[in-house]
Amino acid sequence: MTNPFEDADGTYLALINDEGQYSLWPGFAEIPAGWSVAHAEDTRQACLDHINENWTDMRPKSLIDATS
Amino acid sequence: MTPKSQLEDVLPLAPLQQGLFFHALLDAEADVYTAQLVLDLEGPLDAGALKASAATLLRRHANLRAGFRQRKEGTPVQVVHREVKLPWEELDLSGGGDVEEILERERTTPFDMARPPLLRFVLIRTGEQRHKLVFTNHHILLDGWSTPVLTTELFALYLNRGSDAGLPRVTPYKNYLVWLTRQDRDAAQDAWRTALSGVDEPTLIAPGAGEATGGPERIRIELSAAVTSALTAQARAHGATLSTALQLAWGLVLGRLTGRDDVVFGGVVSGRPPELPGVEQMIGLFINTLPVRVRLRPADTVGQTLNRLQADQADLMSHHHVGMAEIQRLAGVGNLFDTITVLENYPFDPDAASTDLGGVRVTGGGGHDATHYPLALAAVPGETLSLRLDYRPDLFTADEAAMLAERLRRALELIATEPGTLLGRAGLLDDDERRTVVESFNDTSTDRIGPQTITERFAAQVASTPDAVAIRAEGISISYAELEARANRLAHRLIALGVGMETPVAMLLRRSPEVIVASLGILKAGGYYVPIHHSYPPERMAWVMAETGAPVLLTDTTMLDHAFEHGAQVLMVDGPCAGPATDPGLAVHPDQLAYEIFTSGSTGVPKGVGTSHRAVVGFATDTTVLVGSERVLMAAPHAFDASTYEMWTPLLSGGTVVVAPPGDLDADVLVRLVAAEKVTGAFLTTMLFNLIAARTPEAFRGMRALHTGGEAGSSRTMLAVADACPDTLVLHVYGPTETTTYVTSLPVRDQLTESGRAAPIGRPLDDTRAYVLDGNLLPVATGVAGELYIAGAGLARGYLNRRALTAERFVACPFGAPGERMYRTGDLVRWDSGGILEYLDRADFQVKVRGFRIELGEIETALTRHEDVAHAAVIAREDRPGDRRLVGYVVGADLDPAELRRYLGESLPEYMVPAVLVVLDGLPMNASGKLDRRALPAPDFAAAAVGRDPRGPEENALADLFAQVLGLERVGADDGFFDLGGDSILAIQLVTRARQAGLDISPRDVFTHQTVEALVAAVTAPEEARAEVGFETLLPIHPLGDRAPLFFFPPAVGLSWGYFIFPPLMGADQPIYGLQVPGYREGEAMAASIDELATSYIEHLKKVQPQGPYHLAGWSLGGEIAFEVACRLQAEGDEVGLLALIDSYHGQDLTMPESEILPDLLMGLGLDPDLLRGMEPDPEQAARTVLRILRERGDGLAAMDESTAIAAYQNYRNARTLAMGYRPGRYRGDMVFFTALGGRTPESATPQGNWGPHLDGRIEEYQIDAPHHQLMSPESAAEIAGVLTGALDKLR
Repeated sequence: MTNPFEDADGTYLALINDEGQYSLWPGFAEIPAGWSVAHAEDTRQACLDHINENWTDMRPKSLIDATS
Repeated sequence: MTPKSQLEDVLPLAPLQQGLFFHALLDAEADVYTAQLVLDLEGPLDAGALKASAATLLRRHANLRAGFRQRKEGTPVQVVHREVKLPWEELDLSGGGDVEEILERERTTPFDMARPPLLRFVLIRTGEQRHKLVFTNHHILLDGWSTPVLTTELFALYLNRGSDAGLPRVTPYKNYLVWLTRQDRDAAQDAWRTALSGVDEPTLIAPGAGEATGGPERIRIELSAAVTSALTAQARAHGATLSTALQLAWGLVLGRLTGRDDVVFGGVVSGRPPELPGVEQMIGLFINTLPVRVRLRPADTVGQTLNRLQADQADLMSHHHVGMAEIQRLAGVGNLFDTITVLENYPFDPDAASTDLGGVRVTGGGGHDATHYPLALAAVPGETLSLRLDYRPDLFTADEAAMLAERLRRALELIATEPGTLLGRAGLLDDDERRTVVESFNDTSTDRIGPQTITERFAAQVASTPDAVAIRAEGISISYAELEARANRLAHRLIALGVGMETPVAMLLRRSPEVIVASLGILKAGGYYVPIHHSYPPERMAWVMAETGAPVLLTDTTMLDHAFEHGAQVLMVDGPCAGPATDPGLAVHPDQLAYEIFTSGSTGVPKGVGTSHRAVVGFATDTTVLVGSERVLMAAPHAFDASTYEMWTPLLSGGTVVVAPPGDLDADVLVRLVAAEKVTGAFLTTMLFNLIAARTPEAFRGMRALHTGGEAGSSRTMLAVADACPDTLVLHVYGPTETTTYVTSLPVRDQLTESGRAAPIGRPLDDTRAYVLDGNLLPVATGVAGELYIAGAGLARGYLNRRALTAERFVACPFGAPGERMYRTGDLVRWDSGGILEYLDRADFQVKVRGFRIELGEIETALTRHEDVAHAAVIAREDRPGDRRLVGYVVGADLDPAELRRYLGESLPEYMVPAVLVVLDGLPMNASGKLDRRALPAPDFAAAAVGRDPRGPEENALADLFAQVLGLERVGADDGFFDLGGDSILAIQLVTRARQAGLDISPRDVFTHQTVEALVAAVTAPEEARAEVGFETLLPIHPLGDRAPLFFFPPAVGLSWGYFIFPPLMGADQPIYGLQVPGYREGEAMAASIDELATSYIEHLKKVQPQGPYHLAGWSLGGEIAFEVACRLQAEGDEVGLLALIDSYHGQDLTMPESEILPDLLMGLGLDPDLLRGMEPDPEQAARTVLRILRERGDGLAAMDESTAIAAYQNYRNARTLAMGYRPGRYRGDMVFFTALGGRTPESATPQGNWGPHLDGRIEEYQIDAPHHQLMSPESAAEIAGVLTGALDKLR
């Protein structure tokens, strides 16, 4: 069975949480609590591109806040 | 006048008839295809009229008079007899008696397929005006649809007192058979081929289940009237039939049960072609079982799927007449399914016939019908849809079946009430099942308190126990205070060099206390450490430096010869380090990184996993991990995350790190260190664990905790260690680097039961949760395979600088706190019912080979970077059990595997360079144009070993060990260990085995000398061992392993060398010894009798194994010796387990031609008998030729002086005398016997004839397609080894 994160033909979302962390997410699945849509339903690659462009600092936001 | 022929007609079989006939032939005793109809009759019954009616039925319907046979060439036919006697029995049980017993008897008495009729009636009187009519028939005659037609006709005949005057003419079944022959076969084949295209594996819920041994059990459920009508309405609304809705529901259940999104099962169709006149009123077998394929796309709604499924079915409607066997051939994946569904929408209700039968009423009916499938679902439509699930009780418990039935109910309810639901969100678990796997199995939360950074925890430890020993290394102790001071000094240096918060600092160090000082110093400076493994080639080291941008590299003087490009400042940690010893006093946040460890990456470059202080503290202070943290062994490379356990678990809890010497470790060094330093806790890779466990499982006895893991470990070995070390907590651990060292553990002693499978990986650690999810991210039930996701304490930050990759693998978690992430491991696992995880496989192309985690894609990318390589594929093969190795396949012009391996070695660490590269003309593709990994050929390892033959006993022994360790058939004396795919871990195995064989070599020797020749020259074997090797009475062929040993007795030549072929075939933990005759060593006389040999052999085998049961085997004369030893052991009160004779017969005329002696002799010496092809039959001449061959080959025997060499021939001749003087006694027990088929004549002895009279037991015979003297060839030996292993397994 194809892993839901590895379906080249599937549609995906890019999700983001309060720590500024991103998650690829299959379009069919319910969005878990604490996550919001950063990039609406699109191809897998487009979602990954969005994440690559926008996730500039991989440190969790609470760490950035505590140490800046 | 000639009598009328008994034969009325000979007809072909309908497709399902063929299937049932085949099934009946296959298993005549347990043929489950017996159907039974029971009618309750009330009123004044005229039994005579009923019997006459039944007879008329038989007369009217030719197909009820059919018997089934095969033509000579194999085609099945049905032979219709003109007249058959009606099987009719009347019983009176009105005075008491068990009706059920009669029903059972009727059901279980098999029909003889060739003798019609395949039906019988019993009329049972059960009381005053009460009867039961029991009609039992073979399913091949009638289908369920025919039953009501038949009963209606029976009752009509009864009303007519058995006469069919006035009844409509019968439409014969033959019409249907004729119709069948007129169908367009090609069109039907095309339709089925299309319908099943892309199905590349069968859907089996009980693979390898074997034939059913009895009838099925049954569970019934009923849908409410409301749900039934909603279901019917929804089906109609989506243009589908009730049958299709049922199939979708079953498809969903199967998909969730198998973890698949494309499933196939059998669907029963009525098979009555509407265009055939009178088809509705015909009786016979029309139904057919055909594949139903359901594709479950998570993004489609239930309704859409129903609609699509109906369309698929419509395309196949006119092709229902094709037989299943033919369809399976078209699909090409073997048995497509093992579950079936049927909707029993019979044309009319049997009860409708129960009007007036001349005062008799049909008050009830029952039936029995069964299939051989593990699961069969039948639905009977009505106001309330009733369902019955037949299951094989040998495969499912009643509870499991009930659970499945409930899931089916939920699937049907979903279709009925929520057709808009996306399939990907359609979970079938009930609340309890879901709670169990999501919550109960993950009830791990703790309220551990204290600082969440390594630095603060360590500082607290220094404050409370400054004088405690923090590090032991090479006899020296370093206290907490001293470690603190040294780390502080380094931290100040690093800060001065610009290291600050989250600055990466690279480390290239040999194993030493400095590794700990450096790691701690880096953390104190606010940075994180990036360990570089010293085995990395320079290119990879340079890549890591560039990737991390580490401004500082910490190294030591032993690493100076590793030159690689980087722009970092180099700091030698083994030099003097001045600076303040005070803590730099930097605040470190728990979410700051502590280290970055690189693992193999599928896209061609490694990926760096960044792990936080919080994750390390969480892991290191886990209650289970903490056991035995007083003195923990540091033996893993720093660049592997086992080092997290080895350093931080002791140091954050006041314990001591016991640093093992640098370099690769062998078992002996470890065992000594554990004892000398009183180590209390250690992590050992599966390989090291197995090595030590095989010899000295008690070596761990003083330890409190021993962790092992990394690759599938043997439960037997783990249990053996747990048994040998009763006070040690033996833990099987699992965890990817991304989740910090380990995330699950299994206490072996309490929770592991011995099984042939790999040991389970246990339960999640403190504050860690494991989710087993299907392709829809829905939790799967216990027992169902799914992918493992990990959430909780140990999660890494991600792959540094790899944002998209991080977002693909560290994903939103639907089960934990809002905003939480979970890590997708890519490991296939399942829960057992008690919440223990079992590891099954990888879901992708990551493999573990010898404990190293490897992305095959990374190697493939590296291969295709070579200009001559057009295509490449790499897989991990396990052609020998327990021996997993990388094999690369390359396509391209003029490829030189050796050159390619060197090329790979420039960019990949040595453990990622495939042991063998195979050059192919093209990569095998499957039907859909993808690489077919399963079709990649097993490599010819032997082709790489082309060096000269070893000479002398040491070279031979060492070459054998080389070959064993490398998994090669032969290794030349001048072949390099590492050129043949050896690596440092294999080198340690080699050293360990060599020492057992008396060759005292060290891992360093292997690295320095590399070839058998050089190694033997470098080490001096003890004098006495040299004289012994090869000719000792007890030959330790493979003295390792924890099973009971197998003893082989010598064939006529008297040596057991030929049995050296067995160790690789029988697994590393099967000890094997060979016994040999005296007479090869100087001054020894040849044996006088088999009796004398047996006496001596029993003494020897008792030295190895003091008590039975003994396992004995022998080829040729060795079989007779084995037999004698077995009898003697029994006579002395010992138990014999296995007695296996390999083509041995006693009392044979042994005056065989000399030309046959010589091949035998050569095979006995482990040589190729074909060397003698075309040789002259003169014995003297032949003997000289044998000697010449031995000399030329430089074989072990060539090292002997001539008189000893001749001894081989003399021993061989002597053996014939021994054999002729042997009179076998009597053995109590079974015997395994291998018969060589080659060269047998009708006069040849048979095992039963030869040994039967000397045996109180059975002879289990296996035939090997080879001549007697070829039985130790690799092919034959593999077959023999398989049987022996199986037999030994059974005895355990």
